[in-house]
Amino acid sequence: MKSRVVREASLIGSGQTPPGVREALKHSEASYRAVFDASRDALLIADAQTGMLVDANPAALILLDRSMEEIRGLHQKDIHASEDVPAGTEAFHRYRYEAGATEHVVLRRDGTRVPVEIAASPMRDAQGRDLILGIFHDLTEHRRAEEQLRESEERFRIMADCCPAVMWVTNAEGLLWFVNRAYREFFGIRGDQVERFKGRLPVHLDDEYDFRTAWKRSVERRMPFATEARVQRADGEWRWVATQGEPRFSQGGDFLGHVGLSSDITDRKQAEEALRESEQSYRRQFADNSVIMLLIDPADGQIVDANAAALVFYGYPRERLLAMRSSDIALLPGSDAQQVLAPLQDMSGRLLQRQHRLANGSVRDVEVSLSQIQLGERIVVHSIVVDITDRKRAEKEAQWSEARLRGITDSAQDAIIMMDPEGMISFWNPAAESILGYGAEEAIGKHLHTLLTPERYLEAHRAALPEFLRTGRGKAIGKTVELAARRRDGREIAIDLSLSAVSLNGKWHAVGILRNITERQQAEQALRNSEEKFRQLAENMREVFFVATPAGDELIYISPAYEQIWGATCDSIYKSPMSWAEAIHPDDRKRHQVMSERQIRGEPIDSEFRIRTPDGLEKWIRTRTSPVRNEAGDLIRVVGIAEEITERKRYEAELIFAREGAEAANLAKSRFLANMSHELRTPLNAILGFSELLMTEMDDQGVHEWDEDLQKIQRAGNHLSRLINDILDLSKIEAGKMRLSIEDFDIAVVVRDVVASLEPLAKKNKNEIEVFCEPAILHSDGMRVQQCLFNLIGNACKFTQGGQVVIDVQRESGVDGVWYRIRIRDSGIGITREQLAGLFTAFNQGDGATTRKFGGSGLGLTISRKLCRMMGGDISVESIPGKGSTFILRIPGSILTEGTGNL
Amino acid sequence: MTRILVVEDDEANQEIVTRVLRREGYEVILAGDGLTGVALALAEVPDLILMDLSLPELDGWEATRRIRANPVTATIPIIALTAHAFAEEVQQALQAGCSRYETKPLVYRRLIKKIKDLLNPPTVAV
Repeated sequence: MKSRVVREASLIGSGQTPPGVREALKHSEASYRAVFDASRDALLIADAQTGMLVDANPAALILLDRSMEEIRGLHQKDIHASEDVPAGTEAFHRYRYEAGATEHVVLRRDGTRVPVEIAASPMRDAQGRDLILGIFHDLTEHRRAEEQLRESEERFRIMADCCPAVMWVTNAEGLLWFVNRAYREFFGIRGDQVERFKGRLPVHLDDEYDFRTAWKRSVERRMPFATEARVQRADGEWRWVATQGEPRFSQGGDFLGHVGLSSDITDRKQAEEALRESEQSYRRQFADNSVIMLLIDPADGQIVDANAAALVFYGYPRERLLAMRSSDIALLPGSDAQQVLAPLQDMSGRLLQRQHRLANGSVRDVEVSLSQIQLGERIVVHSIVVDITDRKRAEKEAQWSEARLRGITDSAQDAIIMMDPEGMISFWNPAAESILGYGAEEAIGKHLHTLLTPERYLEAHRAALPEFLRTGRGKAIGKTVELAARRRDGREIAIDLSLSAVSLNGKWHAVGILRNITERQQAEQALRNSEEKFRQLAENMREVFFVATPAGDELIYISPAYEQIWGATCDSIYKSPMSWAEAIHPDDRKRHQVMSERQIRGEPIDSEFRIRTPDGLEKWIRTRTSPVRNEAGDLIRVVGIAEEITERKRYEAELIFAREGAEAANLAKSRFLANMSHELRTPLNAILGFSELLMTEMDDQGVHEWDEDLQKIQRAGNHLSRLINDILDLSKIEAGKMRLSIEDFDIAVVVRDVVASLEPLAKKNKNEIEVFCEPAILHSDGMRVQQCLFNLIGNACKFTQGGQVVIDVQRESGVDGVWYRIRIRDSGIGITREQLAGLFTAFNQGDGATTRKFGGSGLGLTISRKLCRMMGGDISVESIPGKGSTFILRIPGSILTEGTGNL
Repeated sequence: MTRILVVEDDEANQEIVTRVLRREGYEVILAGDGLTGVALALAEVPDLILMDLSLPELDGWEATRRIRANPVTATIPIIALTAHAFAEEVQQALQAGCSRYETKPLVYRRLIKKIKDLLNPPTVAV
């Protein structure tokens, strides 16, 4: 179309204008204009010399979105996109001399770009101007289509590459035209080798015929093809692939090639190959086997196959048997076929006992083992059937007779052992196990004599055996003899053995019934020994040993010591068993009677009473008796021991007297001390009271002349008061009068209070006190803890000059609960080894000089330790003379019961 | 005027306590034994009683019990004065009905404080 326009324009434009043809020309001009304006292609005319646009048809105005006036003011460059200007100009110059076509990008008024193809040619108008006519063909749609195609192709390629299946496309000649990434990976083709494999699929020579045939048929019949073939990979390896090809056709129906998918089936092929091999061998084994075998469909129990042995066993012709189901031959109690079949698969690998009916109607016991096997595509149950009818019958009979025998032998107390004609143990009951130590599984099959006979009897047994085996006779047969047997643990036991001979199948077996008499023998021996020992013991004892009936009306034994203690003969008491009680002191008889009743009831008795001997002596006796019961639990005897305790009683009485005296004395002492302290305090109160009063009243009057003297009186009075308190405390503790008053208190508060009240003393001695103590609630006597700490810390401050006193409280958790350890460490004068020994003794101080120098009663440590012990704790001390001392007070965190210390 | 009955057998102590209490502005009534103490408590109905425990005729514990037993004197605060440092004796005194106790030798500032606390119990802001 466009070429015709060019020619037409060219014809018009290049025509001369001789005067005679002006009309014609005009007419021609008009027709040109009509054609020009009507053209659907955009037509532009430019001045070839100036490059200015001179004319445009409406399509061009639309394409460029310009008016004719605008067009006439534009240079050809102005309509090109800036990057296209050089190419446009170059083409423009070319079109001045020759026609041609080039692609360009032009601009619309609004700056949008339009791809165009410009076909241009030179022309000359009526005025003889050299013009260039350009026919602009809008390429926008074309470009869009191209882009879409490219995109679609790209999409397809990406899709194909992403697809895990091996994909390929061939052309009509069967040559590969496209392969996807999976294909390249499968065949091991690297990116740079793609071209090399753009041939045909590398099919194995053996498979090529089939492959080609399938291919051709697909083309001819316009049908997809599917084939399995071996293909070679780049590394030379052959793989089996299943290939499906879909023929492609053009819209016109021309064959374009195939689109195909290939998948690796090498593993399956190999498995199939293996299966085929095993199936073949299985078939061989199945058919030829003499064992009865059936193949059963697990779905419905249909007998799928049966081997020759099965046909013989069941007595059916092959066709009949293969028409049956397993339920037709198996007798299953009260079950329909469905129930039987359901668990068939579960039973796989198990051994089942069943009854099968044969063609002749007889029923046989069979043992069936089922297993699932894969036969080609299907799973079948492989059933091996063993006829156990005879075995079952034998078993039943054996079971029955054995059950009877077992019943007897299992419950027998005696070992029952059987020996077979080879001299081997063939029977061994539970009693044999308990007597001889070997379990049945250990003993049965072992040589009887080797297992049980002690060395020294072995020869005799061996000598007698051949005769027995031949004749069933022997010296010991039919008798009970005492023998020895060796247990599993090597110990020898004495046995009673009853031997008998049994003939089975014409051969002699021996049955031995064996009883362990070791214990009996040992018991007998032990009894003899013990009797002897007992007699020796009893007769040499100073105590009276006796055995009597519970009521005491019959005396079985009494040791000779009775004669010395009671002053009566043993004979007399044997004759009159209650005569010993006649000697009991009248005052004690009633008590003794109570005891006797308890004794008859079977209680053990421990009783003390006095007796009077015939020569008039009074003796204290203690008797202790124990009941003796038989196995049934009946009280049958009373054994007892009677001893004289006169000396002990006397000693005890003296002791009680002495203790009572001591207690009375102590009580008197503490009462005295308590009273005395009261008596001492009353005048002391007056002294202290009046001196305090004096100080106060003189202070009121502003008189201070005697302050110092009054303070001395106060100090001395207070000291005396403390001494009295200490003495009082000690006497209270010693009299057992000290009571703890248990309460909850915070140890940190107690320590703080004590330290605060000792601060002046520490300051006076230029000591530093350091305290390490966390708050902790103790359940103890807070006042007494305070008293102890006051003593210990006070001592530390007192015996240290210009040093340090460190108090450290630690909590300790142990198995016996929570304890508190309070360490009072000073850097004072320390304590010598000699001083340490008597440190906690009352009225003891470092030395006499210490008392004079440091004051104090010397009772503080004694009292503190005693108080501490009352609270369940203690005080210990470590010291280096000249370096300092450490006192450690350790008390439990909690005292459970309020107790009285008695120290 | 606040009146305090002092039951005390020791003359020196009587004198000291009397002087200390008078100095603090209290009126002092004296009894030399337990029986007199019980009688004066009933006759005078003092504001407070200082009761020695070791007394002739009737000891302090018994005198306290009797004072407590009589509705007229039952609510009078009693402070036991004791030279006995035995805890159980103090305990007995408190059981007999004493409100507080002080151990001899007396520390007067402490005694006065106790008396004031008992006579003017610290008010509790409600």
